[in-house]
Amino acid sequence: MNADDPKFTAHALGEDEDLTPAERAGIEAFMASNPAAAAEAAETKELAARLRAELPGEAAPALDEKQRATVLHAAQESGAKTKIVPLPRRTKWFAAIAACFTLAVLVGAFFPPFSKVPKTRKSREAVSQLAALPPGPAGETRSAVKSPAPSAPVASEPAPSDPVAAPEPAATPAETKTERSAGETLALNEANPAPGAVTAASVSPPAAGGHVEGAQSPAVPQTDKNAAEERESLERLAKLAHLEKKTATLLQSSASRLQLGVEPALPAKDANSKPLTEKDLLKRIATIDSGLASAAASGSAAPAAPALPPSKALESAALDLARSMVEPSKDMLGKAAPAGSAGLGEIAPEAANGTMIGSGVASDSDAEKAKQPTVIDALDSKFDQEANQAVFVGEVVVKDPEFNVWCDKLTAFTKHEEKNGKGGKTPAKAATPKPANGKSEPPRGGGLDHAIAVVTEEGHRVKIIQDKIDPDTGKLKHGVGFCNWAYYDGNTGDIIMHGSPDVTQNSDRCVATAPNTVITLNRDGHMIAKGPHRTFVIDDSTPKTDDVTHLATPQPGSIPNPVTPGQQ
Amino acid sequence: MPAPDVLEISALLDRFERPLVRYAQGITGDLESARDVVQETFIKLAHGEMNVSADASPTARHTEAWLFTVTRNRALDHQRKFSRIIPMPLPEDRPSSAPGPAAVLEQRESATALFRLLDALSPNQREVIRLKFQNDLSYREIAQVTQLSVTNVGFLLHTGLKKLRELLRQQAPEDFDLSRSLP
Repeated sequence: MNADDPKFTAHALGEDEDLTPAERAGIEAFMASNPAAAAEAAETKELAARLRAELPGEAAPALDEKQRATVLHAAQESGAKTKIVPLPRRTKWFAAIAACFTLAVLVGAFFPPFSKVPKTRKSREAVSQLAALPPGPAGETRSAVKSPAPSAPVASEPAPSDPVAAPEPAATPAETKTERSAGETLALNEANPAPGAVTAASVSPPAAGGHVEGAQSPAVPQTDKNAAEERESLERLAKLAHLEKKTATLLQSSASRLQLGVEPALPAKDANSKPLTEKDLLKRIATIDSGLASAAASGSAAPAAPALPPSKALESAALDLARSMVEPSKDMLGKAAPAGSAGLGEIAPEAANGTMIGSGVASDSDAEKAKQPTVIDALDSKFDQEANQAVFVGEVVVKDPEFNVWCDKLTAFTKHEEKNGKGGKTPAKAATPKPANGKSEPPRGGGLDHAIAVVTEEGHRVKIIQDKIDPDTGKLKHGVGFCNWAYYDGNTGDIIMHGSPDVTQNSDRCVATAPNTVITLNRDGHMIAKGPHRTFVIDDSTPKTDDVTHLATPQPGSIPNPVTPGQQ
Repeated sequence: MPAPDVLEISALLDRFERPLVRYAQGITGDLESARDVVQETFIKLAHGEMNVSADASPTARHTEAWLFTVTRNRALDHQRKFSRIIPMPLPEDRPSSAPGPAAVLEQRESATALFRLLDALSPNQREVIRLKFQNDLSYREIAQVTQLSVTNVGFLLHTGLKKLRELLRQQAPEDFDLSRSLP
């Protein structure tokens, strides 16, 4: 044994695992009898300690965000197990759900305006059902909504209180057309919205010269009505006002979503062609409430109105209609999109100014429903045909029917149209427009495969807004998320937020308590948190003016509670 | 072995991406290439390509060694592909083409002298020393990563440390009091 033996060094470093007991004993005996060897072993230990202290301090760069995202995407693709963390539910929420059913009972009052939104087959069936209703309040309400102007053709419809008024024919073509036209006006996601079609008139409060006043005059001729009829008329007017309020709420919700992505369809505009903001809508709702209070006050002495005939089927149909107004296509942006439709990835550069319009949202089963655009604004953009990649840099805003994204940089990867064998090499395709003639040819890829949104500026955060209809409750889920970077999976529709994500969904807020926590917003609106996080449940029990509980507990001067049969 | 889920991958990224990039950079000599190599390594891990024998459960140490192994192989492949080969002569020692100790020491601050002295070692000595003292791998784990025998690893560490001590003595005898620089 001598000091210039690797086993001697191994022993000094504590690597005795591969030394036999005899070897260890021999080394220890050698050091005990040889002070020079012991000193050399001490030097080795000291050098090792210094190396352990200093070497880890060497600069160690990390992967960039895109590479991390790619790795995590690979992990997710390979069947990563996810754990859905259900948000805490409170008992009082069940009361809110119960209130939804109460709302369904009262849905008869909502038919007319909802029937104006025949977006889907279901909704059209509902329209047909509605058209088959006997004349009366519904027809009157509908006409009032449709024809705020005196010259409107519906002014000729029989007054609801007219005892000899024949039942409306079941959805005559003309009426269906009228309904559809109105529906297109209100359907915020319809593909070809008439510019300014949804104007202040369509959501106008009484003070705006809207339907309330217009309806009162033709529908309730004071000279021919007795007190009961007047009371009935007022009550229907109040229902109509409430309907307007609910419509405004839906518009508000949809407008929020539209701010995300359906810019061309941004519906609600006032007389000055300015988009109606939430504040505007709330203001008008308040105005409606104010007019409603006056109307209710003037009709308080009137006898009870006749009940509206409830119908379970119609309730269901109306709820479907209501959902269809705000529920985005489930085939959006992904592989589920039918042929001919495209996802967000089909980005068509419209001009050199960085604004991109993709052919966007896939349509549902309704063939008439056209695609909605996805708009990407950025200061700079770059396209790579071979890589099927588009990079947007600087003040990037993605407006998609399903979500809105604000970030500093967005990298979008479109699906490869064809794959050749395992390599999956994609033939080059026209991903870049030809601006020569001023018209750009939209690239025809297989849709968006995935996209990565990141921030590059200190203090910036990626912001994401997603509005979804809860499949369980049918209620709108408004989600707002902040994170350092986000990954969008075009195949699943998931938005995966990384880097201390902070997501608020309605009254629930989920905040990462560790940097590596990942929060995913699924296409169906579910929030999945993985990693340390904290959930805040905000007490929103205070009823809002548009809360469904408001219907069940009307306040003096507010919307009357519709009367059901047997309650009179 | 089932593929790690996103959370596990994320945790492994947080723990190992920097050491692996640094390690790969030491082989490729290029940061971007090193990043690409490490990305590929983690993607392999995400795809469940880490093989574990039936009677062995994957431990953190095993995963760490696997990550370094794959990173090393990928980095060497990258080097071969791009003809920027840093030879890894094994197991015999080989003179380094790096500047001599005197030139190195003249340019370096004393605080980083030890760190920079690693450049005077042969690449394989440098590699095993980094794996041992920078990444805290055992002889066996280093042997797994470098595909050397444990004996060879011991030899490289022994000769590398011996050379470092000699370099430190040449640098400044008074600085060779290693204990003074320890925290």
